[in-house]
Amino acid sequence: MEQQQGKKGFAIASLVLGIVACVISWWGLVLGIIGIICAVIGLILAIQAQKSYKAIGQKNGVATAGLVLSIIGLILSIIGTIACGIVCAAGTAIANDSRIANQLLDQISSSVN
Amino acid sequence: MFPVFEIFGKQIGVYGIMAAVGFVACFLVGRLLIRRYDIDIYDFALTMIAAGIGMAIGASLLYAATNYRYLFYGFSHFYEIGWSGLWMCVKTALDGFVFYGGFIGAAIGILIYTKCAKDVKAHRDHLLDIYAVLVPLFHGFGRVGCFFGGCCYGIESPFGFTVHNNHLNPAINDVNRFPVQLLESGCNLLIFLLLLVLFKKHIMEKRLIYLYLLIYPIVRFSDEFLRGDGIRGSLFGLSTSQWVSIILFIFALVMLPIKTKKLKAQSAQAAESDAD
Repeated sequence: MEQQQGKKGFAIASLVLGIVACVISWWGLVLGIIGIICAVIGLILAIQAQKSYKAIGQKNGVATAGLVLSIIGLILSIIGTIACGIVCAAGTAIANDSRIANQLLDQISSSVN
Repeated sequence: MFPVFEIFGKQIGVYGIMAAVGFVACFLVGRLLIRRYDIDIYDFALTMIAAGIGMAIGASLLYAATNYRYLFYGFSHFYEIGWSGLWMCVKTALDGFVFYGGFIGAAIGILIYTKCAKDVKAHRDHLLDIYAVLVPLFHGFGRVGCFFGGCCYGIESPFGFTVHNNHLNPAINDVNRFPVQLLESGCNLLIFLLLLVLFKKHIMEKRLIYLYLLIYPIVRFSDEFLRGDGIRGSLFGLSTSQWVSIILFIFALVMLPIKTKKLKAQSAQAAESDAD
């Protein structure tokens, strides 16, 4: 039974997702967010795989590798994506001023056109 | 200060680095704290992931709530601005975080996870205690990140630092400002040390989260007067965070005696069962 053998599928999936997260986290905001999602899912799968192997007193290198790569991918994605400084001055303070908000939003319109 | 630096042509936000360092620090401290309750390290990691997901969602949602005009404009003018314009509005509305939203989101994440996962169901209150100890630790690192990033900046002041050429937060430039981020980081460190000592000494067990909510809102309410950015909006002269501080403080004031009474009743019941 799969439970007695440990969750090998989870281990492999976590390795793949960890690699994907490490690779794509470096290339822009959208890919960074996808990288975070992949890393988190990979981390969850790796932990579940580790737990299943621990329950039967075994170790699995693939699950360990998936865990490590998912952690690295998550850290890289967080660093690459989250910047509090992205919150620019055109934030709430401006949004609360409808005159400036309209000007900014006119800029959005014109930039889109 | 130094909001970003370049590695191999990629701009790296210092705030993101501090957030990652804070998360790692929380994990390292947390794995020591869970030993008391014999919680499996993997269950703790999954709890942290649940808290992290809740934090990201909560922090973004509360920030978006204070930027509702962008969302409103984006959806109401969709036919004029199209998908690109809508994406710009949504991106602007979600392009930041509010601490309190993250705190509440993370707590909800832990509550949901401990309700669903049988391995940690019995440890819900213990995990909330550990969460209360770790939150100020993470927050302390985050505020240092804010200092370097130039966001959440302080009021104009003769004491402090003057930042130049910060392109991410241009409002901070060329004005000497009080380093309120560092003040709050220091206060968070003190709160972390206090809660850690109380945890170690088994004082206020299963209620540390309420104690945190009695202490931090006071700190936050006070230092909001030293903030120079109106970034979360204001209502009747108080900032959004000050109103949330008041609500959370009252919540803790009400819940702490209720929880204490409940725990006393449980221990009395347990003592009776032992006597039988």
